[in-house]
Amino acid sequence: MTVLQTQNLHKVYGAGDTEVRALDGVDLAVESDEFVAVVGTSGSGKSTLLHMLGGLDRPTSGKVYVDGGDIFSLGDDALTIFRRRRIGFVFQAYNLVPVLSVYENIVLPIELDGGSVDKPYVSEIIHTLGLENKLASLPNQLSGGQQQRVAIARALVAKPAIMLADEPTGNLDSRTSQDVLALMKVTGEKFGQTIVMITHNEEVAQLAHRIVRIEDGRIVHS
Amino acid sequence: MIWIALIAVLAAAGVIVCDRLWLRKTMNTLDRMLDDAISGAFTPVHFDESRLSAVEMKLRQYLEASGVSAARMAEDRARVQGLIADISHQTKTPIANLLLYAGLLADRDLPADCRAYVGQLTAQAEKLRFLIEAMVKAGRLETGVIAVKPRPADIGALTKDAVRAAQPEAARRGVQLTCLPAEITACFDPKWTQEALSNLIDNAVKYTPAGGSVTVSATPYELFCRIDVTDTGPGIPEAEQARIFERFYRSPAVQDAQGVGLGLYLAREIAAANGGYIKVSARSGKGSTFSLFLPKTQ
Amino acid sequence: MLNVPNKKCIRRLSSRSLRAAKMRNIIAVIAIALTSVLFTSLFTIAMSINASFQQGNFRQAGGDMHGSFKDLTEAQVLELQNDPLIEEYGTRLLAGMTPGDVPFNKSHIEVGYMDETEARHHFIEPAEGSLPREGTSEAATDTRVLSLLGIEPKIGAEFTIPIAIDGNTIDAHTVERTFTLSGWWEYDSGITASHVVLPRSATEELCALSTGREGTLTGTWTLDVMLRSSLHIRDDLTQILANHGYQCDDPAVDNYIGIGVNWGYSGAQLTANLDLMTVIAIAAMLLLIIFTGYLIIYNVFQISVTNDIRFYGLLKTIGTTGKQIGRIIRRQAYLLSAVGIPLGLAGGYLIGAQLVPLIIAQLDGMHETVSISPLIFAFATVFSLITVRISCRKPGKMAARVSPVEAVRYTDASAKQPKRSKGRHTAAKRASYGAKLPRMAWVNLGRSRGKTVITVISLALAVVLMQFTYTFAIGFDMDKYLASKSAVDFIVGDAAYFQTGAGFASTDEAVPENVLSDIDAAGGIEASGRIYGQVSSVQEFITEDWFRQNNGQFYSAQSLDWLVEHSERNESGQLADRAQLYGMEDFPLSRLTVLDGDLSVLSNPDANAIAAVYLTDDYGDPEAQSHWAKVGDKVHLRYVEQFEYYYADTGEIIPADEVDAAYAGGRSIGSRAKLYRDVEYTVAAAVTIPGSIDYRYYGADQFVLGAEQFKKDTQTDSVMTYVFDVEAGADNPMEAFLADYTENVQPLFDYESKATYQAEFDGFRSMFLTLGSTLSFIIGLVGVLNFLNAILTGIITRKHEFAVMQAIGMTGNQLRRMLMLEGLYYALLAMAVSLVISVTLGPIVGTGCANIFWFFVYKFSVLPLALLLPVFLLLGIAIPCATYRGMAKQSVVERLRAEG
Repeated sequence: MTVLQTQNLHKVYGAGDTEVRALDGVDLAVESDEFVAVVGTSGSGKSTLLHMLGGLDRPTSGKVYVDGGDIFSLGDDALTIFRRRRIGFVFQAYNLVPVLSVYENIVLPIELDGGSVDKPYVSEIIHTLGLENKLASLPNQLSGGQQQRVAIARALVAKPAIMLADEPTGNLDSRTSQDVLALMKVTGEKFGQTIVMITHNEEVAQLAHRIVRIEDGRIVHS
Repeated sequence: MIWIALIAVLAAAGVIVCDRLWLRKTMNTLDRMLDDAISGAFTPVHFDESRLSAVEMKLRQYLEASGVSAARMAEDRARVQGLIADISHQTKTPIANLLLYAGLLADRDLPADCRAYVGQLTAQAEKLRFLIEAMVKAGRLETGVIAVKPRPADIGALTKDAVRAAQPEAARRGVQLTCLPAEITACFDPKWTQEALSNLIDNAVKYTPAGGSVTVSATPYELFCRIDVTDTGPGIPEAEQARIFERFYRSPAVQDAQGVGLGLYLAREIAAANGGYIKVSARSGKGSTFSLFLPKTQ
Repeated sequence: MLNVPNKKCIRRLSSRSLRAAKMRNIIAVIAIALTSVLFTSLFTIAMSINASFQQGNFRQAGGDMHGSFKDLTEAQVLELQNDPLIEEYGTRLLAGMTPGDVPFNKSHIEVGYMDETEARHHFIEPAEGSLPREGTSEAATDTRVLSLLGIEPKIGAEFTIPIAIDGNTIDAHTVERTFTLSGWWEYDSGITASHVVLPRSATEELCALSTGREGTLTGTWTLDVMLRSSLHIRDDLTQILANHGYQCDDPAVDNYIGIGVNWGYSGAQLTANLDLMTVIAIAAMLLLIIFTGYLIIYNVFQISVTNDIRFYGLLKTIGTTGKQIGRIIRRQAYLLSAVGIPLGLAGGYLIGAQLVPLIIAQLDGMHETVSISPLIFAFATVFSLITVRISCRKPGKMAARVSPVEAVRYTDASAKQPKRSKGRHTAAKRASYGAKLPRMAWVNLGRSRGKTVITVISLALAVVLMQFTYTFAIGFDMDKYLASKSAVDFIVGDAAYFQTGAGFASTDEAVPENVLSDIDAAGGIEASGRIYGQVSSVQEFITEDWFRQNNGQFYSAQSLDWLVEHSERNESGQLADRAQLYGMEDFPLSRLTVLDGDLSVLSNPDANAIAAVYLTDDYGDPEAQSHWAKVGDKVHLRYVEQFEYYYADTGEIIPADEVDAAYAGGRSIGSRAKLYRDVEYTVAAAVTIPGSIDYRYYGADQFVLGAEQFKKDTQTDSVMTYVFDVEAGADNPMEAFLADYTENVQPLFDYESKATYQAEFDGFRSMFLTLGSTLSFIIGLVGVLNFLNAILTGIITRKHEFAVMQAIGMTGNQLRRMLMLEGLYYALLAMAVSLVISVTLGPIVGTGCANIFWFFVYKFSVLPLALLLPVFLLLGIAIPCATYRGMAKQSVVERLRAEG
């Protein structure tokens, strides 16, 4: 089943001489439970693609369908709510809320949605990610790997359809990276998550089911 | 006059408040029902003329219908499982006999061309047996008949045992097989994991030309332990890397070598059942590394 | 629709991020508190003035009951008092007034019984002792009555008081009674009537002496009532009467009961008195405060949102909607308000309460009261909240609108962002300027123009305000004030003459010759003279046009027509109208301003010369249209000895003793001179009279006669005022003499001197100074806070950048110098802006002031600016210095890592 699909996606920044075509007609379909790695050099448009997939930014033209629905037909607030219910994000810079504890960060998307926390599920995630002893800590008391694990937990907690990861190991040393990637891979399988991960590291991409290569805003078929 | 207006306003406010409270109650009830349904504990509790009761009934019907299909799936799976068991059971004796008679035939004086045929016959029978065994294992793993039971165990012992088992074959092929010592505890099912690791090592030995080497090493991380099996073989073209774990996939480059294309698939299934996974990094012509990730805790 | 219940989560996010920004919180709380300090003190002052005004009115009206029923019998009192519309009531039984002989001739003293509620509402609360007990010969009264009787206010003192029974009828007779003083209270000059409170039994005994003739006051009950609300007193009173079958419209009908509405309620409401100027002034003040509060609260939130933009972007990425972010920020603002506003309310009330007496002292007809109306706090809270709400609107919107991509982009903010905002001046490049610190500092200021502008404006605003306050204070020209106010060194007259609105009206208020000789005996007088006031009726004859112009302001068009028709005319058809005469000796004559003609002829008692008095405006400029008589005109004056009254409709003449009753009867009555003398004068001069020695009220065309001519023609010699100049150096002794003399020897008389005006002027000026400096202090504080905030956040947000610069070789000293330069630039910019505003707006404001205050002269001074400059420079250096020290405690590496 296709959970995520883009149709002739274009994104143009600036105009005239300074025009930059970040995305130039991207067609991509991601199947349910698939782990797709998007690789490309810096500036190839892969981050822009991820922003479009997650509804963080609007395309110049083209469509993004998640679960069959066109997400950019939603208003800003509706898009935000859609995001917190259906998309989990993992960023290079972790982007945890500094004033909230680890546990509060993890359950934030649920609480923002006013839902009651599914305790067994959350504790399973926490266990899988080895965060049991850090729940009361604040993000800045954690190591980078630990912070990224919290971010993964946060991305998983709302049982989103898709988890989008933007260079999740970009700020981590190679040992910690191995851990974090293993976790993404394992949790993705365990919790049945579709994962789209952006990376410029070919080796990281190895664990994906499929590698999508993007150059100059286009998908390159190899 | 002003009193009437006031009373009217108050009454309207009262109605609105009551309505909202009622609506909230209804929503809460529905929320609870769905939570119960998700956890599989849903039973209708209202039996009256209310819409709520009707909704409960419908939900129950829906759950039953999907329950039926789930049960049907389980049934199908059991049937497949039975089929596999039957095939394995029923083919065991014929294959054994096939091999026995082929051996007896080979002991006779045969013309040179016949001897070649007998050789072929024996090889194909062996292949068939291996295939059947692998398929049965995979089938059992997939259908969960054999539970993989991870528990804390020694990675060093695992690698040592696996390497020892492959040592004769390596020696036969003139491949140097080394195992770097490791003192790591991880969480895995030793029997099945050794099967997986052995598959990886066998593969590596198989595809490494004589004079090459295969190295098995282990690295601990915070949450995972990684076991690398590195060879100096031909490597795997990038395009194929994602496919080698598929069932029955065999790289066109190694069609000559013995194998059925189930070893890597099986290894990956075992890794997943242990809460880990396998990834490959390889370049064509530069050897390849298969990494088995195993979680350190449950 | 029901929404998902996520408020708790928003609340937590809000309060957590609130806790994370301590410095900002302190500044914001102070800002909010200051804003509500301003609002609270403004409302305290306004409400207090209103309350003081109302209290003053109540005292003049005699009490603060909503209304009263008059001339009741006891049975009627009992019948009406329990009406459901009445919330509270008090009753009074009048025995009579004191007779109009000395020493009671100038006081309105009522003798009778009142119950305790009634007494309390008449501001009768014994300072010592209590109200008289029933069945005794006790009585209680105020210090004025006691002093008139020559009795020391001491409990148990015996005093005898005459009481006029049936005083206002032909049956009037006086009885005397002796009482024991059971209690006394201080006389309040604002209260017109004094009371002698008797026990009921004693009052009834006195009332029994009445003949019961129609119209007598003796033995009448008054029922004073408090209603549920003061909004429609008259309607309620009428309704109460109707409930019991009475009416108050037609006195001729049997069931008539007179009612009285306390005009202290109807006339005294601030709302009723709101003129456009007051409304504009209050609105302007409110706007100024809102603006001041906005400047800083907005700045605080704007800066904090800018700093946290990544945080909000992040929240948005995770799925926080714009609305939720707006709510987070608003909630923070309200939480800060919850701390700031109560502080502000308390502080503002204290400040307001301190300022109230200062202001009230400058206003007439007030009884100093500091209002504690809950409305003050309600209004102040509401306005503070409005300000806070407005202030966090834009920052909230900004945070709500932040694109979630920002959060992602900010991942490497420390590397990218400075590049974007600084253009070619990258951190590294600028560090290489090294020696060009001033330039770097200047560029830094331009980086966030909005913040710089707001900071500079709020600083400048305080300076400008200070500047204007100072200009105001020095602009009040005492010489100009005194020149107009005091034409002579001293004026002595009856106390009533000096009371605003009282004025000179009868022989009772004349200054007797013995007082004059006492003053003369004090010595040092250089020149002196009497001004005789008019105590008899004098009529002039004028054209109908002038008649209409003169009376138009007092009467409706209809009444005016009636008046024109019924006024007497002389043979040339001119109408008789009241005229007002002065008789002046040479000294006061010499103080008049002669517009035309010559005054010397007035000294000749047989010349029949007269001077026409023109009016002046506040600036002392004569108004040419204020009198009809020009030099050389003939003025025909009629000195009336007796009037006769007649019914206007029938012409029937009313006998003299029935005139009062006839007026009470409600038919329209005309009057005309019956016995009179006519004299014709020639206008010798047109003059204006200095405000301090004129009648102090305006009623009719005024003329000045020479003293002798005046005495001869009016056949009266009542001295209104005795005016004199003293020799150099004699003013202080004379001041002391008069102060003592009018206080102790002749308390019925009073005086004014240049020193009085000087004190008045100083009081006025000090009120402005106090108010102005309070205001500029508070706004100055706001400015300094903004300054602090700007510098502080400027440093905190650039922490990483500074670390980079230090890492590549900028010394801590250079950094500190750069920060100090930035502070200095702020200070100098603020100074420059305020100088420009002061120079350009100063003359405009000055002209405005000169229009409002006639004794204001605009003078420009840079003194406040010059005085403030070092303060600002000091702040500009000290604040960055202190902040830098706080920052320098962390090592460069720590700081580099903190953001990276």
